[in-house]
Amino acid sequence: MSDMETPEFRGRGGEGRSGPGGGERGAGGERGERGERGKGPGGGKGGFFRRRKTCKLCSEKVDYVDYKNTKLLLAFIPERAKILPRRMFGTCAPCQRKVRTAILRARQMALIPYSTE
Amino acid sequence: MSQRQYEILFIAEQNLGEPEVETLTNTVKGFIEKENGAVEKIEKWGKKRLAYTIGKNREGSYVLIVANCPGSAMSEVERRMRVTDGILRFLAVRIDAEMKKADRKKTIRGKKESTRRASVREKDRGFEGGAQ
Repeated sequence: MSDMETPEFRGRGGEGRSGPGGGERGAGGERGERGERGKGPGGGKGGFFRRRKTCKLCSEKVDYVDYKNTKLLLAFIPERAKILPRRMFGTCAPCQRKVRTAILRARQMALIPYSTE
Repeated sequence: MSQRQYEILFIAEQNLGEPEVETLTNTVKGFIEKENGAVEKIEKWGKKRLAYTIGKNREGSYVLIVANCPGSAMSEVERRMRVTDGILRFLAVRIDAEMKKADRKKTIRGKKESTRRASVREKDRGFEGGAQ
């Protein structure tokens, strides 16, 4: 299957994600990142360095996001199986759109759950 | 008529055995061929556990069919699949446009890479030339 060609991403969500229930790191961190762009470290409240997230799909050169490639898609859905916003993974807009449609298709074909209990 | 490439994935019910799935695949193939389509590839994934139950089915047999057929034929194929017993669910996706895009991207990237490499080589050569 196409699993062989496309690279698989390690872990669910990867390191770039601050976690859906990441409490302290949640919205504040987001603001910090935006503020940091010009000022460098120290712009956020916490004052620790946070590197810019890059689009994984672009850097891994995935041209076609296949809905059948569950390994790839599972990297983009957390435990609760929600599709997370772009800011969590740092995917670029075209890639996020591709991932979204692929996830929706995979859900329809029962390859990926709609939600978990 | 312009031919388009479609990818049809369907799930057969869990109580169907290997031969029944085979006949089911053949019937779907028949639908496509009836509408002047040509089946390119058939891939059987076998029985897989579903991510959620679909009408008491915990698992189902997945079959993937790649076919070239005119766009107008797909609605008929889909209609027939909808009324066929034994098919839990199916999804038909047009893939030729997406594949073309992906190919174009790949070639562009390849060209960029080769020019970059060439420019690097030239630079190296220039440096060597300057040193001599």
